[in-house]
Amino acid sequence: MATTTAADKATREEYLQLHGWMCMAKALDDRMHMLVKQGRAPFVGSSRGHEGIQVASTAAIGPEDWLVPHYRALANALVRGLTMKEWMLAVFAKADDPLSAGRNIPGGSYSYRRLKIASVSQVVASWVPKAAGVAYAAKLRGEGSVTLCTFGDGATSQGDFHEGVNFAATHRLPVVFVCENNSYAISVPIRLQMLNPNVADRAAGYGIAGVTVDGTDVPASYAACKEAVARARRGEGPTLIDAKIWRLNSHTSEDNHLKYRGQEEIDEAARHDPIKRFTEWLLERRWITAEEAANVQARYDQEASDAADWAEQQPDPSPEDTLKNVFA
Amino acid sequence: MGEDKLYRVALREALAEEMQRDENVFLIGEDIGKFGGAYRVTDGLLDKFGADRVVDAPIAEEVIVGTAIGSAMLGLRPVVEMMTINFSLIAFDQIVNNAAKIRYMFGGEAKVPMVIRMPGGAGHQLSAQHSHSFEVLYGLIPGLLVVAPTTPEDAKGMLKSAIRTDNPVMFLESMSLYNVRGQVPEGDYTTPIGKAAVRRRGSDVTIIGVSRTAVLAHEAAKQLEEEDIDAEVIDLRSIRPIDWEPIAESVRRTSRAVVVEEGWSTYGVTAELAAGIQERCFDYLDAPILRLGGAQVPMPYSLPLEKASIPTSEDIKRLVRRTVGKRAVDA
Repeated sequence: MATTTAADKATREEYLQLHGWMCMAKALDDRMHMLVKQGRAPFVGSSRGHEGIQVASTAAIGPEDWLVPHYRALANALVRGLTMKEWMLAVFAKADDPLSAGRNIPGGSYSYRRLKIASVSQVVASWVPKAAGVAYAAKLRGEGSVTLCTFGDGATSQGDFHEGVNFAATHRLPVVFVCENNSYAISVPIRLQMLNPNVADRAAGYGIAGVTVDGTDVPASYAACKEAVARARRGEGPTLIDAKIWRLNSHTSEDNHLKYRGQEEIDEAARHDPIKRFTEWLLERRWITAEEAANVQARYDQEASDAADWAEQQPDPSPEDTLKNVFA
Repeated sequence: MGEDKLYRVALREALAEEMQRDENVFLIGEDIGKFGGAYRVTDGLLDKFGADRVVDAPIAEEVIVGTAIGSAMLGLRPVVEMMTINFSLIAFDQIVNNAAKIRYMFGGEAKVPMVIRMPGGAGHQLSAQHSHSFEVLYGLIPGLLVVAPTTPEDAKGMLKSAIRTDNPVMFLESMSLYNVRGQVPEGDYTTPIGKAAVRRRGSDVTIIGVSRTAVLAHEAAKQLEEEDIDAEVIDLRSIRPIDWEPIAESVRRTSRAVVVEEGWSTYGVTAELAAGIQERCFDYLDAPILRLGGAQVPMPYSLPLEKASIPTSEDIKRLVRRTVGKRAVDA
C-alpha cells in the first residue's frame, strides 16, 4: 500500500488548502445532520471519513478537467469551487440551487456545468460508463482534459463498473478511477461483496495501472492521484486507485449503522478520521498550530450555519415551473 | 378474526411462513440481512433462517435476478427484494428477456417460480431516480404476473400466492403503504392473483385505482358522499392479468368511470383500463372515461414541485365531479 513518502512535493500552502477543504466539508456535513435532526432538511448522505481521498483526488486535476463523482462526494465539489451557500441552496431545494434547480436529491448528488462536474446518478455505478464517455469526447475533440471518476467499493460489483473501466482501458482514455473503499455497501460488508477486497488488483485484468493507497493518508493519496493524472495526460490510459478508508457515519440519515456494524467497529472507524490524521501530520511539521486548526474548523462551522439560515429563506421553485427542462 | 398489523409486518409474516412451509423458498437482495431491508420487511429473518436462505447480495441487480432465475429453473423458489423498483431497470433484461420468456422458449419444459418484490411510488422527496411507478412497464410483458396489493391482508395473502405460483411474479409494493395498518386474518390463507377487489359499493361512478391510488380513490369516495355523489371504488390489485369482470359489471351499473394511477398515464395502466372499459361498456357509458396520472416529468426533489407532480384525492374528486356533471360544493 502506498504511504507518505519523500516523493510528496506539495508545498505547505497546498496542504493547508487541502486541510481547509476537508474542514469545510465536515462543517457542511455536520450542519446537514443538525438540519435533519431539527426537521429542517429531509435527508443527508454523509461524506465523513471520505474527505481525505476526496480532496486529494480532486485537487490533483485542473480546472479544465472533468469530475464524475459518486453521490457521497461533498468535498470533491468544494475543491471544484462550490460555495457553502450554493450547497445549502441545494439542500433546501431552492429555486436558485445551481446544482439541480431543486430537482435532484442533495446530500452528495449534484451536477454543475460551470465547474465541470458531470451529473451524479444515484443508481450505483451508472456513472462509470458515463465517465468513459466524457473522457472519450475529450479525447476525440482534442481537449486534453482528464476525467476523475469516483465510486465506492459497492459500485465495483455492478456490471456498469466493469463495462466502463474496460471501455476506458481499451481506448486508453484519460480517466482516473478512484474507489473510495469504505468496505461497506450500505450494510453489506466487503466480504459479502467480493472474495478479493483489493479492488486495484482488478486493474491487471483490464491491462491498466492499479494502485492501492491508504485513503486516510492525505499526502500519500495526493501523490498517488497526481501520478495517475499525469499518466492519463501522457496518453497512457486509465489508472484504478483503491483508496482504503472508513465510513464514519451511517450510510445516510435514514439508517443506524449500529445495527450492522456494532459499537466496537464504529469506535474503530472514528480512529480513522482523515481530518484528525491530517491535522496531526500538519502539527508534527509545525505547518499549523492546534489553535489555528481549531479556528479553521470553527470558522467553517459558523459559515455553514450562516449559509443554512440564509438558504432556508430563499424562494422555493414555483410549481408552475414543474415541467421546465424535461426537454431541451 | 384477525389482528391489526402493519403492511410491512404482513409481508414479513408471509415470507417467514412460506420459508417455514417450503425449504425451497429463499430470499436474496441488497441489505436484507442484518439491516433488515431498506423498508424493514425482512427484519429478523436472517437470524431465523440463516445466511444461506437470506442472502445479502452485492450491489448487482442483474446478478441478483439472474441467479434467482437460474435457481428457480432448478427447483428453488427465490423471493428477490429490489431495494426500490428503480433498480429493477438494471435487471430489466433478466426480467423481460429471460424470466418472462424462458418457459415459452423451452417449449414448456422449464418454469421460473420467482417473486420480485419492489417498493415503488413517490411522495418521499427521493427525487427523479428513486420515485417511479412502473406498473405499466411490467404489465406490458406476457409471461409475467404483476400485482400491487394495497392492504395488509392482501399484502400477506398475495405474497403467499406469488411464492406458490410457478410463474414469475412482479410484486409491487408502495413505499407509502408500509406503515398502513389493517386487519390480517389468522392462520394460513392466500389471496388470489388476477382478482380485483371492490372496496366500496356505489351507483354514480366507478373509480378504479392502481396501488396507492386505490387508497386515495377510497378516501375521495368517502368525502364525495357529502356532495351527494355515490362512488364505487375498485382496487385493481392485479395489473397482469386484469380482472375485467367486476370492472365491466360496475361500469355498466354506474355508466361513468374515472381511472387513476400514480405513474405517467400516457400509455399507462389507466390507458389500458380506459380502452378495455370502452370495449366492454360502450353502450352503457354516459360520459367519457377520465384518466388521472402523475405529471409527465422526472420526479422533482423540491417539496412544492413534488406535490404538484403526484395525484391526490382532491384531483380524483375533481375528475369525479366533472364526469357526473357537478360543481365543487365550495366552488
